[in-house]
Amino acid sequence: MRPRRALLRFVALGALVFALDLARPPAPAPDGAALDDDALLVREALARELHLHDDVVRRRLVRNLRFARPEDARSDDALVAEAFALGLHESDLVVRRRLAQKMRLLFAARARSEEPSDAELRAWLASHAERFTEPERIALTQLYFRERRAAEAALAALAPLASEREEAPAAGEPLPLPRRLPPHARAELAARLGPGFADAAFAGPEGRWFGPLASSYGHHLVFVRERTPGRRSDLASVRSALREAVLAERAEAATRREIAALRGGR
Amino acid sequence: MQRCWAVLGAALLSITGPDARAEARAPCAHRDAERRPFFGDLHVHTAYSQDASTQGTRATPRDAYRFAQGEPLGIQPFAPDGTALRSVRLDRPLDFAAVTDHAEQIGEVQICRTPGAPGHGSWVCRLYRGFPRVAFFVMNARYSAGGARFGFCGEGAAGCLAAARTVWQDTRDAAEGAYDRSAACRFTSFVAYEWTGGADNGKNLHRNVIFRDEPVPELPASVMETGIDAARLWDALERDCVKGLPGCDVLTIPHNSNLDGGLMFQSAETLGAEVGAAEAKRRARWEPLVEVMQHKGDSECLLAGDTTDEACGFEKLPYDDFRGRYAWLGADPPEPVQFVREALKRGLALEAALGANPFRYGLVASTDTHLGAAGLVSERGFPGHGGAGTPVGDTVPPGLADALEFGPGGLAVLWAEENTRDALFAAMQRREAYGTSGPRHVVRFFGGFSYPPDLCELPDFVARGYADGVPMGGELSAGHAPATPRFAVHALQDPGSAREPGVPLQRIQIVKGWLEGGAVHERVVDVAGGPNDASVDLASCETQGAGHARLCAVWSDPDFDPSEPAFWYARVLENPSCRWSQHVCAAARVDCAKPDTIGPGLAGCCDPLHRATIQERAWTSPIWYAP
Repeated sequence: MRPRRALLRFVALGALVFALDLARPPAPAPDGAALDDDALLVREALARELHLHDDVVRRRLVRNLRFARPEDARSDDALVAEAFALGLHESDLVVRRRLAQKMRLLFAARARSEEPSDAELRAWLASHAERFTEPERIALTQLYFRERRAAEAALAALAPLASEREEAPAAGEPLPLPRRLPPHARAELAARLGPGFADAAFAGPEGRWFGPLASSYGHHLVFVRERTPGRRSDLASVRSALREAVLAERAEAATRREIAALRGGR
Repeated sequence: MQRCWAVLGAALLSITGPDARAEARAPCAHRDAERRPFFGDLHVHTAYSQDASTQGTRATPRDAYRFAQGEPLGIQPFAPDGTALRSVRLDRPLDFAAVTDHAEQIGEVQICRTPGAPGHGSWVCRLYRGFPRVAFFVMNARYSAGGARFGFCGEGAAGCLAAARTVWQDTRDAAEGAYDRSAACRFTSFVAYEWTGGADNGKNLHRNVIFRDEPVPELPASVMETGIDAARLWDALERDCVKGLPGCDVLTIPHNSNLDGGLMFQSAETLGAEVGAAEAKRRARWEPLVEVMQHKGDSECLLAGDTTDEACGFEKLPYDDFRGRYAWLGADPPEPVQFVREALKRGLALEAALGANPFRYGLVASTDTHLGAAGLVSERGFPGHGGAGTPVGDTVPPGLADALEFGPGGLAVLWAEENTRDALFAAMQRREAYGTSGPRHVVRFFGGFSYPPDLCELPDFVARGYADGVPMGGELSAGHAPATPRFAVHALQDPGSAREPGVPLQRIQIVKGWLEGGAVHERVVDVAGGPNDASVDLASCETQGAGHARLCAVWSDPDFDPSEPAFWYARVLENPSCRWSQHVCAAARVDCAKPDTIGPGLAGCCDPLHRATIQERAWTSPIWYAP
């Protein structure tokens, strides 16, 4: 019952709004071809009188006038009214940027009002694979030594069997980084321990101790626990980023369409 | 029966904590109990900040987060077709970032929900309040049908304003989209903003407001609502977040005390007054961290007054508030009271007098970029951060890309178990944090009474560090006195990247402040490494001389008096390298003895204020001792 009534009110209101709009003669549209995007948006915002009720615009105009005329004791409202009457808002850079931004957000709101479907997310993922590709990663455990000889001796001390177990008897020397590193891509490992170390670690075997590998800090024995090949991200792991990317792209496309329409003098 | 209680207790614990996650997210696949350092930027402006957009910045919060994760960012100037004439990219992505646009531009009156606002009683607003989705549809349908534009927004522009997204909503959505809630836990964003309070048209009282996670208040509390006293900001955050919104948590980070005209480390209740007892208790909860360095200079310490610490002569602005930027001759020079070290010292005295230390600040750094370029801290190719307020024209300006006294700024580093909002926010709250002037140093700092002198040689350095003492940001308990505390500090140089190799470390220092006989004192001690002959070839910017890839020391404080409150923090200094401005001057082959070599935009190379080198560094949060 209630949804039905709501629907009726909704349709009735919609019809009323359309009727009111159609009854009103369209405003003369100045030639927009020569204006850049922001200028078009500002013109539209002014036509919609957005400037009259925007806090940032009002504060900016008050600040400008109080700076120019510190002796003027009139109220903020009076100053704003005068600024509008003088057209100061039309030439102020901050006001213009703000109004253009408001228009963009208005267009964005419309474009973002519907949730993207899974099919849409999948399609976007497929067409932007380069942004959503997981690089190859290795998870490694490392033992650190200042001297290369100490690292070599520690490796030699591992019996053939022990060299295939992550729990090495050698303790290594202290480093203020974790011994067990989570999965790192090559670039991530390079950022942590140096590019040469990363290349050598990626080239090493999985499931046995090897090294020593030189890092920015000394020498390491390395045990690669796990190697995950590079792959495309799956929807579940990047859903939130995808959703935002789809909505942002939709908003941008809508804004471009609206600007084109404004330019065409709609 | 006992077993039943135990099971019930365990079940309750699993619901209520102590490790209860407020976050709705996949657990991280990897959690490190001994914590890892995560590098980020907690101070980032985008085009949603007026002082960025008027300089031609077009980056939105979405762009800033993508840049932080390693994607390229086009920056001003832009060609008429919208193509950026410059592009920047991080060699190494960040682990976390917070976009902190000015609240004054992101908060708006929601006129349909604000009684008394023009248009509040209009038919559109009535429809909006009763049936928001219907109102939205009607507005959109109406617009899509084209036709009339004038008066379209209805009375008081209610229609348009009701339909428009707020900048705040857009900021929140961008943060949500950037946050990795999957088990990989690769990147964290924070919903945040800057509260831009200031006095006398230039004395900076700014705070960055960082929310732990959604939910956050519907609108940010700006200085327009709160006035310039930060205590009123905390009131608003308490009302709208901590007490008023279940699951909401937040903290504030003051920045640029170097431009505060002497006011930041005074009362946040009454401008210019000394902090009172009630505020002292409250302030440390709201402000566990302070931003010690950024684009607009260093706020650690000033080489003046009691301070003879030469390393304080680092990235200093020659004026004490924002007005100095535009009126150098009339500006006042900075005073020690504006600097963090003085605040840390005065905090000890206030604690003795009031029973609580209002200035128990951990240290971080960030950029304050106004290009949306989160974490762009390299001295090489620095394109300016736009903080100077000079609009870029239609072409790339020649010469120095920013005001001479500004720089790229630094990074915030947080020790956390995993890269999630909860874990990073907890690190901020317990001050297990440090700042760097840009490089990715790794620094551990522990204090305790029972560390062995050879801790640096022991493979379980970190485990013992935690088990037998406290990490940076912690407090030593008086129970162990009169034993002498030991401090273990372990630092790694930045490994650098292929394009920009890291610079070796020169030394680790411990800075101590203490209260003795009612007066505060300070002392700086080299504990590892020391002065060396490292230098820079200013023509090529090649660094010369040896340094250290790794430094570690256990230092025992010989002057410790268990009856005196004290703090200690570690400062790690690199060998000197070329400052951003010298990279530009050297590349242009400026020779100040030959005026014809001083091209357009390069006069700064020969300005007496020009500093050719920089000694990059890291500052840890202090460890405190209270008797």
